[in-house]
Amino acid sequence: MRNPFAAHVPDRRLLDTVAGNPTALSARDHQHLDACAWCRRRLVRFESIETALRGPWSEVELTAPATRGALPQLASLAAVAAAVVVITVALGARMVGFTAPASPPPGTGGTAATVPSGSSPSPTGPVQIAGPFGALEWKPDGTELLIAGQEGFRRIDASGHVLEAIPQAEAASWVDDDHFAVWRGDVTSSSVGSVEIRSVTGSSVAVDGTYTSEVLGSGHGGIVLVPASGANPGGNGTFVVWSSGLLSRPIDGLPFGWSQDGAKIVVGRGSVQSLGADIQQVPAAIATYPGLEIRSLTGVSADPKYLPAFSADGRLVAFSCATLNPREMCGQVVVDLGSGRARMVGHQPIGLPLSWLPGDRLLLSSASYPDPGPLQVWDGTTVVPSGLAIGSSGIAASNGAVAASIENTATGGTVTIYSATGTVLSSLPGAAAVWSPNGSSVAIVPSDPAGELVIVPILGP
Amino acid sequence: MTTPSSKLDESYSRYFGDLVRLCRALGAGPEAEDLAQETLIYAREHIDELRDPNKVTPWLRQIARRSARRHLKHKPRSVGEPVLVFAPRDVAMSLDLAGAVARLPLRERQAIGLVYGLGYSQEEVAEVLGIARGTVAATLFHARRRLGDLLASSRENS
Repeated sequence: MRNPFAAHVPDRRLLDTVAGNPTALSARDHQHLDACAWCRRRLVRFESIETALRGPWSEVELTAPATRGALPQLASLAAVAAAVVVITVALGARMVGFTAPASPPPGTGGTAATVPSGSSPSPTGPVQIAGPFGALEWKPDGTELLIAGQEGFRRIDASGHVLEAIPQAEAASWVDDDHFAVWRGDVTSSSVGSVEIRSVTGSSVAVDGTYTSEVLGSGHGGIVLVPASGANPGGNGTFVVWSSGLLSRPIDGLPFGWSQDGAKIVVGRGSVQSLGADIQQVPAAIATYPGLEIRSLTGVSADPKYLPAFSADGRLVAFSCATLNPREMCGQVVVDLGSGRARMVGHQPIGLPLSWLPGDRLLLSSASYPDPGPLQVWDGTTVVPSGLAIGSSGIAASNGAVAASIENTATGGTVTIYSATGTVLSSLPGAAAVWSPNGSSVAIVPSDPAGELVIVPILGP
Repeated sequence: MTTPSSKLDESYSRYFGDLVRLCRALGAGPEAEDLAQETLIYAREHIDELRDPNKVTPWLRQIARRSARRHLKHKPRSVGEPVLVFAPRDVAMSLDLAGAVARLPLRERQAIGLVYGLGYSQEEVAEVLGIARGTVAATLFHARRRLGDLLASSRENS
């Protein structure tokens, strides 16, 4: 449900980082920065500004009437920009033959604006959603999305209608089909904030305590939170699980992510080791839920920046950047939770999105990564070319359809959607894809968050 | 015996320099020295109103801020007249930093100038501008983000 490659790092955390706060960025923020050229450009821009601001200051004479009249000028520019956006959205809507959804204006307070969801018909063609936006997470039943923008989150349906604007939210995740958690940073800190659980009907309840922005919903009623007092970027820290109004006892460990059935949590436990500049490894373990009993995955260390991928039945878990030997570089590792056996099945020394095809087959990147080629599949014993989907990397839906991404720094890339039988269904500009949990839709994420998010319904078998 | 009044006199030069810099950062331009002097004269006459003798500096800064605000509000300015902007000098960036700072809303411009230009803490800025510490943090965030966007757009336009 959550695609780490689509979660743009909020400006607040980028700015805190360049201002010297070493803990402003979470592990997933670092992961996202590795993969997102737009965020890296933004970080570099803020670093340039910070460097300049820390230099010598003096009075500078300006000949233009910049001080007085500056605000009206900016207001005029904003009005023109708003008009351009409206026109662009209208033209875009006409071009693809649908009516652009009406968006409520972004609020300024901390209260979300909810509008009735009504009965939006299922879209039959691509739906474009105007940016800017960042993180994106499908509702477990695949009918709605939480998407981040510069001023907060929006909850939209698959037709692109805005159901709710959630101002000032910096992180959000689905607890179940009826509830989602929202994290808002404190005014004075970008790394500590409060969490509320919101119902899709508009009610909300605050969770006691302060937490980091790591908010991981299971989709089955639980949500992992990292108490601010327990955060420890260099080590384990602690986490808690909120469910039905109750908080669990604190558990030692660094939460990676949930299994699809919400019955397991992958946890890092032990000291974090660095392998090179961007790769970290921490001994991996599994916490059962709701018992929260810990079982170590002996010999497996994984990078906490990358989400693990569970097979449909939860028996296999794949890590996109893990090691079985502390002296080796990381690769793609599959652990059989039944037997405890761990195997390195791929040797790309970087974290790439992993996903499972039906039949417990793991979709891997192209053998020639980053150059596009046939995506590879680990079939349980060996790695073979998929023979169908072509790309640099790909993401599989639960029904076997594949969205294959071809990276291109100049054009922003292309995402091609293949059916489960390998037929090309669509090919669109974009940087990454996020499947709805049931594979009925796929969200195509543009390389530039100012661009448009496109939701493509997958019709037929 | 050292009274607040005598303390003010003894440290006149130090206070004067501090207030001139503050008034410049608040946008007073060439009138900064006059405003600093007016502030000290006013303070000398109203020293009895100072409740905590240990807080001379914040008290003076608040008086100066009010003077600067009045000055900015009432000063006539014609279109095309040169203006002085308190801004970082960064020749290496080849960007119009001063122009970008000048386009910030007044409070953002003042907050960023006080923190980066004069080295004030956020608590000191809150005292001077009469706003909450959290508001200072939020103001600085918006100012830095706006500067990033302004400079990016100026780069693209050039």
